[in-house]
Amino acid sequence: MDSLTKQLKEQIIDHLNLEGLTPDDINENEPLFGEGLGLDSIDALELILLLERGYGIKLENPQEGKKIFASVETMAEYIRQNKK
Amino acid sequence: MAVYINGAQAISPQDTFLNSQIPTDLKEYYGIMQSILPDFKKYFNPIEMRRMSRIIKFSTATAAECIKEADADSIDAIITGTGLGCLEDTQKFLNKMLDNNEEMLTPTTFIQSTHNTLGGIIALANKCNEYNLTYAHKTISFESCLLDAVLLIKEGRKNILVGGIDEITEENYNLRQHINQWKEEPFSNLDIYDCGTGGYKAGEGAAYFMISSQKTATTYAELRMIDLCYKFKNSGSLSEKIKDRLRSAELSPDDIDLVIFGFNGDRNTDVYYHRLKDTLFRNQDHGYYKHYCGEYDTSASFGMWMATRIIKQNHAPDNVILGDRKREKINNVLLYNQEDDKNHSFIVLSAC
Amino acid sequence: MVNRVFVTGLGVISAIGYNVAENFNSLKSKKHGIGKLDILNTVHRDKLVCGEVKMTNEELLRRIDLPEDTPYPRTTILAIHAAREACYDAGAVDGDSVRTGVILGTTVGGMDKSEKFYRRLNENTDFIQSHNCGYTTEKVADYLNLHNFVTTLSTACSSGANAIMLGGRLIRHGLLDRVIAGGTDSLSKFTINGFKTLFLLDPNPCSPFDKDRKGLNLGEGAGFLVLENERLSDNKKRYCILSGYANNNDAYHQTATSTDAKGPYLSMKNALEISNLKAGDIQYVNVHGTGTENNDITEGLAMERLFGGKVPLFSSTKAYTGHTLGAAGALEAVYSIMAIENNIVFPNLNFSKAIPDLALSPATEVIENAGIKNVMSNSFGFGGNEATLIFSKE
Repeated sequence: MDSLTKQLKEQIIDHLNLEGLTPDDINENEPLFGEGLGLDSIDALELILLLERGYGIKLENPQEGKKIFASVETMAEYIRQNKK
Repeated sequence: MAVYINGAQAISPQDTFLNSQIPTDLKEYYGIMQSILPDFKKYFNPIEMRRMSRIIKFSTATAAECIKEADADSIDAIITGTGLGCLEDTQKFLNKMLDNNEEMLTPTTFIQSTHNTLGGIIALANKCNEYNLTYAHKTISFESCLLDAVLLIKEGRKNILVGGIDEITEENYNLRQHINQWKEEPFSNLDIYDCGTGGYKAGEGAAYFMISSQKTATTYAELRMIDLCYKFKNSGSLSEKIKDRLRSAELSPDDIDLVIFGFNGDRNTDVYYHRLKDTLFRNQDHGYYKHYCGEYDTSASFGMWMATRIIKQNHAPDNVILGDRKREKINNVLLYNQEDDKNHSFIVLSAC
Repeated sequence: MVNRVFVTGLGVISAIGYNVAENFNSLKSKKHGIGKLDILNTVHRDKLVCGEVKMTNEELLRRIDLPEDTPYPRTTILAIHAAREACYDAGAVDGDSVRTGVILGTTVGGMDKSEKFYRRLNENTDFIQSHNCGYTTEKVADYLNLHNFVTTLSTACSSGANAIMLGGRLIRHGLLDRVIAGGTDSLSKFTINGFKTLFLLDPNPCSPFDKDRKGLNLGEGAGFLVLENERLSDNKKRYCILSGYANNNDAYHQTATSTDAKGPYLSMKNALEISNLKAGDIQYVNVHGTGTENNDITEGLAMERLFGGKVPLFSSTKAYTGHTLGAAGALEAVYSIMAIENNIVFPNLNFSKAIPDLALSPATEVIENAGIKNVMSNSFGFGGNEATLIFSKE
């Protein structure tokens, strides 16, 4: 697990208030939504702000989030490519 | 048609949760009175808890235990009462909005701030598609729920979950200090009766009840009467009105064995209770409860929790009773609460 | 318990008019009230459109004969404005001689004032007491000189409809003879920013039930009905009967409606049952129709399920007024009653293409002489709260 992935997991736990979970409880390749971690559309909106605040990446259309937030790994990949 | 109370659970600033007795070893508070909370991990997993503020947790856990206790076949309606709703979430969103000049906001606290979040979450947890309302009218928020529940029973529903829930936050406490609502600190909750000063103690809590059309093994009492009146004094004397309201439930003042008043330590409010205590109800036992829970919009729900225990055990502990005991058996308990002579509420519970 | 409930008075204030007549004329002439904000000061004012009532609090207070410095939130002022019109209309001005209740629905109460002074306590502390939802109800009761029964509902966007339902039930049970029931909400930065974070605001005028709908516009206003029992309403103008009502919960998600639209379907079906009507008896549905992706598809599905292949004429009036949150159910109850009274269907503005998964299109032009006898009005809210009212010609 590289440092960005680990950092992202910590940020997700903190930002979404997942009290009691540790980075090890989240598999970076498993889906964040639905069957995986069990997040929903409101969490997706929270993650948009996480991208904006933490990495300066602004998503105008929440629909884009669906692909980007599929898993921690897809999120990390998107950040690597778009970070300013 | 008789209406019963088949479940009654409360989280409060005292040791009341899952307690079949009224605690007699009272916790003393010199400032704000906040609820004693259970370990919520027993009730929710981290994913469920991520959006739950303190009030949502203590409300939902109380409701869950009440549902479990009543063990009803169905929940045919969920009605919640809350004066200020999810205060912490409301403040969080408001503060962020003001701090960040309306930028960089996220939706969670906004969504959770709506008053009906409390009832909606219970519906979600129980997959209950039935009637689901939330009353938010100051000190009669809870009583409005009870009144609605009685109507629903008359309309043919069987089991109605009813709750009164409010939270106090440090921020709201400090805010309301600006309009002198509270007792000057330090002031003990144990000293509120007849203290002769203004202001009251800030409290909070959740109390849930299963109101039902059928008597069961878990029945505490019969809900004999629920009545509300806005600005009583403008339409005749208080005593006459109360007699009139009792008559509609086929009761006379003499049938009442114990009157539980909403004494909150504010001399301006308490004067109305004193008047009744010394006149219309001078031959009854007298009690009070806000030294247990503090004052908040839905504190009457705590009073009703207390009354369920008193009726079931035919006994009120010394901490609750004011003055001499005159009655041997407690068959009928009247709870009377009011706010600055504005919103008067009357609840009668009867042994059954 | 068969006391019938009659509507004998109407009052409304919104972005399309200050009274019932003005609202009716705007609806009929397709004149909407969506535009830039002039009164509310928010950093987003250049980037969004709303249904704002274009009078300041001072101007509105003057219209209801109150001093300009009366410390009421805008939500309260709007409520008194509409409630007063409804009571005059019904001749319900005899104070406490009739067992009367005042029942109100609102979402954020006095928030418009709280958000203004929350950090300016040295200037104003009135908001601390006017913030709660019940404050407005009491001010309405005081204004109308009513001292008997008050209560307040706060169930997000279905609040106003639920207040009317409760009013009707209290009369049916014989506990009250008359109820002044309605809803109110003013625009606030709090709600604008809240809906913005949910990406639910269309920056342009909304287009309910359109394939390319992009969200809702917020609005403000208040609507009130005077409901009376048979005896009291005898020998006076009766607009119609409140014949059906229901509240159900979708129990699916805090903000989104379930894919099979169970909650909305149940509230419509149960309201029909109460009214003793069949689906085919409804001639017009004033839909919730906010213009959001989720609401319109699920409300449409629920209607298809309830009405089968014969969905009646329907329209959303939110493209006129914006979504007025706690007031919406009451505003739209007034519009539904106007539809019966004038035998008319109001158009759904800004519609061009139907939603692909639905075989439904709203009415897009004024339809007169439409044989309107029974009208259904839907109001759905956060927390899965679904309310339906049915009004019927006597």
